[in-house]
Amino acid sequence: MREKDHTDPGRSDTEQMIVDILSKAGKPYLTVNQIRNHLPSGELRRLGLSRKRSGIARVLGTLKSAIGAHAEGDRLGDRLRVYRGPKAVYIGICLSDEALLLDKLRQQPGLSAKALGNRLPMLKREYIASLNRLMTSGRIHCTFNDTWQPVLSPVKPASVPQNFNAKDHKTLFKEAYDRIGKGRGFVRIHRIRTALNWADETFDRLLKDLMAAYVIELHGGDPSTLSENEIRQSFVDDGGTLYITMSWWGEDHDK
Amino acid sequence: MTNSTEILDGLRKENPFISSSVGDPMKNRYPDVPSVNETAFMGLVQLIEQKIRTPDLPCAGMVFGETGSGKTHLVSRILAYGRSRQNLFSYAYMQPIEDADQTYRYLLREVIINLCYPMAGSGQATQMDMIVEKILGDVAVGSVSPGDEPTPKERLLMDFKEGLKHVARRRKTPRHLFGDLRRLVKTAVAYLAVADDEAFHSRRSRHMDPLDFARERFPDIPKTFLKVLFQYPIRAKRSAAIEWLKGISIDPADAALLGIPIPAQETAAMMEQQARNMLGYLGMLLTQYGRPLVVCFDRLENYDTDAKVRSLGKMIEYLVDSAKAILPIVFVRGAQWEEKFRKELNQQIITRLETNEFSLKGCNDEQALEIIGGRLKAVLGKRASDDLFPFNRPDLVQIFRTRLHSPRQVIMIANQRLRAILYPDKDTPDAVTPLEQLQKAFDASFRAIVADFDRYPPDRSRLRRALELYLSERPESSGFRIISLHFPQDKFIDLKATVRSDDTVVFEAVFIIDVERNNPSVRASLKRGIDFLENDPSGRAFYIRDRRCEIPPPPQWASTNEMFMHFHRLGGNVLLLDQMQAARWYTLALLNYAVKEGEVTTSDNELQSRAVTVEELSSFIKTSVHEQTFSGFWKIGERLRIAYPTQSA
Repeated sequence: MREKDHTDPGRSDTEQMIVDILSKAGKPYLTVNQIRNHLPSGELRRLGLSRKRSGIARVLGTLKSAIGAHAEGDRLGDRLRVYRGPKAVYIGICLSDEALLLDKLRQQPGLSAKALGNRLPMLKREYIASLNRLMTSGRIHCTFNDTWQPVLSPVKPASVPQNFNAKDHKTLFKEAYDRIGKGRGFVRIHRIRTALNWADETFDRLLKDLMAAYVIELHGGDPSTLSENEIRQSFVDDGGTLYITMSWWGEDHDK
Repeated sequence: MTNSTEILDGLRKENPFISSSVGDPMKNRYPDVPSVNETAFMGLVQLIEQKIRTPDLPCAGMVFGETGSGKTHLVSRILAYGRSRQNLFSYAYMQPIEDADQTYRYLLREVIINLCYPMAGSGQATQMDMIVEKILGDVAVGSVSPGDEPTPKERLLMDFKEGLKHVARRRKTPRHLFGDLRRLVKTAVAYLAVADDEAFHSRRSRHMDPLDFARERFPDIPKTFLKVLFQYPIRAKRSAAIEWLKGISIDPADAALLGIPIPAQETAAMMEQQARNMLGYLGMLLTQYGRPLVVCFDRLENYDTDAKVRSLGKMIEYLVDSAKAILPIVFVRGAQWEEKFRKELNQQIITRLETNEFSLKGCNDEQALEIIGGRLKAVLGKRASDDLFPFNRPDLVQIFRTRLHSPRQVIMIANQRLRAILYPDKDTPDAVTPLEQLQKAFDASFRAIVADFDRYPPDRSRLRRALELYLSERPESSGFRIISLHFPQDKFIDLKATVRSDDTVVFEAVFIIDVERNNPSVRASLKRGIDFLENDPSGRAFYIRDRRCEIPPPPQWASTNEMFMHFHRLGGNVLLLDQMQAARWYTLALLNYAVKEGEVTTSDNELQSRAVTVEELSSFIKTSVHEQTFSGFWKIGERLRIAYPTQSA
């Protein structure tokens, strides 16, 4: 039986309250129990929850119906997401796994792959997949420390050479497009931008040049499936239109 | 100067850029620019031709196209190509499915609706007419001896054709023309006066029985199927034949009319299997007559649940692997395919579709100017100039050189600039608000549905979609509040709601939408309503029916009519939607599909265009649909606002 909840007062309030709790704690995510304990008593009463008696599943279920769960994935409303770690379930700001991983590594560079994984609210398989993606795209360096241990550190934007000529940029851009798109035709712009990690002006200028040469075509789409960060990392033209994906046609593509 | 003024006046009367949407692929108003998306077009044509040559070839096509990239236009172009080659193939356009548990029934129903729709430029003749005609023609060829005399009807038809030739002949004086015309009209009247079934029977009596002939040729197709199919051309039986071919349980009177056994009540699984079988039989006939059926799946944004996506996968898989001579083509947004469908469909289906995939590409500057020039010419005719007056050609070139533009973007940019030229005194040309745009789209779609009502047969799932939208999107002033709304598992009940009226009285409501023409099925629906009201007298029950599915008055269907009265006495609400009301419900459901697909666009004060959002559709329903007193929804709202209903007896 599909059920649709039509009681929506306070939906955005609850979401905002959780965002405030995370902001106050200065963390991108907290466990469900921590969120429950930080919610004001009045709000808990309104939601029919109790600090002592409501377990994780109940709290999560109630928050999902109060804020609105998305059909796919663990999205909670527009700004939040449920993260599932090996030992606990968390609620946090909606970030991609890669962004979360990079964020942690920027705070604590030099961690081993295992130590980094233990500090993140992710299951092993997803964590390793994200780590491999970041390594492949050159966003994370792996070096050895004094005790022969491989350790990780993020690649800083400044370490990308700024004096490449346009041809180099174009080649790198195409490589990133192919790598991320795995040979398919519609690739998210924010993923290419994140992978290349260039200054925004450099990336946007190349994008406009390629568009004007009819080499690429940008497409719109539904931004509701994207996080705020992903939207920022996409492309907005001078008329204010948001473009989310792109196709590479090449110079000699016929009609 | 005068010429310029005339041109501007002409464009004020009809702005060819006002709409950037093709709407109905069967009715395309503006000319084609062949170079736009030529690769995709040629690829699809080759695929279709290959399917004609090898009907057993398991294949499918997929077209990637973003909103406004010309998907519907491509469909209309393919249809035009088919027509220009003596109707090379049949065609069916699939609207999104609502009931995933009726996958094959839905597929069959939509295919039959499309096959029974008049073909463009062919009067009232349908694709199904052509299929049946081919089979019957084969009977004649296969069994008639050269010396056989034509039937009276065939002779009249020959006379009529001869008469047409006479009328079309060049002549010096009109006197002969009138005489020829008079004879032509007489022949036509005589032709129409001869009953269709007389022609059918006379053909049968002269030649081998078409049924026996067809059974011999298609031993795997049941006799009943062929029998019903052959009665399709008979006007008095056509409606019953269509219902049966759609896999719907027809009532005993229709069964008697068609001379087939009264259908037994079947389970959903049996009906699904039956629909699969019937699609298979259709495929066998199409294979024999070298005329494949192209089935287009569009508006995939509306496949918004896992069940619906799986249902799409089932349809594609079946059409590719099992049904012969049917070619599915899927139109989808690229990112949506990559991020949604590719993850949810099984690998076999993905491979089938990706083997023949085509991407729609935006227009370069030359193509953009060609689109603009073509539309100007369609309105201005010979007055249209090569320099694209009233536009400034170099300005347009500069705009379109910046990047590839989708055909819709080209038309929108042209529209913005033309409005600024035609109405220079206005500082900012009137922006169209999203609500106004939705109202326009609603009105246009409503008019199209009313004008072509047979193409939108009673459809429970779309009525349910419209009702759900009405109940979900309510203004504060609606006087009732839906606390919860869900779809019960009982197949006879469409929606169940917990409602609170303004008087804070909470009650349950059930909504039963019924388009069945089968007596026991109607009784089962009514029984759900009666049981509900007997168990919960404070509840509200609504029985909603498209008026086209009429319940025969007493003494026919005696027990059903008695149940109907009983339901009424218990306080049940009966809504028989007339044509105008039903059309509004179907319009709302289709508008919902269009908005989700980003097909309805609006422009702001800076004339920037964008797609209307789902939230704006919600506002439109709250303001416009809830206020319509004649839509049929009003009565539902009225009954939900009342705290304590009074029973009729």
